[in-house]
Amino acid sequence: MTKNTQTLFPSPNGRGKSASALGRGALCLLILIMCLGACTITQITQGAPLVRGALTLEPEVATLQDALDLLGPPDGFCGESVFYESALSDRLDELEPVLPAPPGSHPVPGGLCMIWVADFARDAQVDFGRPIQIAMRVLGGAGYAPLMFGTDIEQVYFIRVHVSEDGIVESVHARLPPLERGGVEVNPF
Amino acid sequence: MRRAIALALILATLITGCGWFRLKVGSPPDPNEVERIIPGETSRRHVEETLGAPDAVARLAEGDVYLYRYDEGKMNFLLLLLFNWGSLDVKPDRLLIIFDEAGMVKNVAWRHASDTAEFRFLP
Repeated sequence: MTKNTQTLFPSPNGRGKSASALGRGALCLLILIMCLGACTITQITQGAPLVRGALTLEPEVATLQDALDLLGPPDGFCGESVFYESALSDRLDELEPVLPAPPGSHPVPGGLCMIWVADFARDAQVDFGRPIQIAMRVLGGAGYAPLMFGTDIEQVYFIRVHVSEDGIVESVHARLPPLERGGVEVNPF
Repeated sequence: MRRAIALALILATLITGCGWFRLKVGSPPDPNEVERIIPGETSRRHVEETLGAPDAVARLAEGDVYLYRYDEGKMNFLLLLLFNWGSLDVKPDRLLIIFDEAGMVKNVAWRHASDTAEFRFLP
């Protein structure tokens, strides 16, 4: 007596078998996707674009009004906490004098020190091995994916203008790095 | 077939998501009130009554400087498991008023950019 497998697993029109196969396929695909990883892109822009005209402010000649006409109102005064200055606290040492003060001059104590700030950041990352990353985080580890690579761009734009008590620009410090994409300078704001 | 579709829909709900956030920091200066501030005619008292206390104050030899700040940001994110995207855009309003020794407005600098913050749905 031969067994008829079709009577042991009744399937009048084969739907049961194909649905099961489809579910297994979806599950396998999901597992494969989890192991393959994911691409994540984040972009942050803060502030208004800063014009390179700050480079034209000449110490001992330009006035406070010249600076305001060129740059608009500042984001804050030196020494106080500007909204997103927290990203700049470790970068102030990187500022390079764009227009050094004339020989023999020195910053006048007091006066008005104004800062303009803008920030652009873009991060693109691809992670592989998500299950391992999640397991490491659950166990209290750093939670890095076994394999990941990406690019991270952050540009901080900073202008600082020191004006004497009588309204004359004493010094200008600016950090206005160009942001290029494909060899062409772009304005991310 | 129905179970497979239901499973796919449940998974799609659990593993994907999107969201939008709006961020506002500070009190926005009223543009109409700012336009009424006229150098030589508007007093410090009028500025304080209409705009309130400034966010920062500095002193010059000839008078005080008031700075008003407001920031507005828009953030959105999209999670599609294989591809995830997030964006934050913050734009400022800044108002600088310089007074003379008599307490009258001497100079005004105004930047109104908070309404240009955008939700960005693509990299």
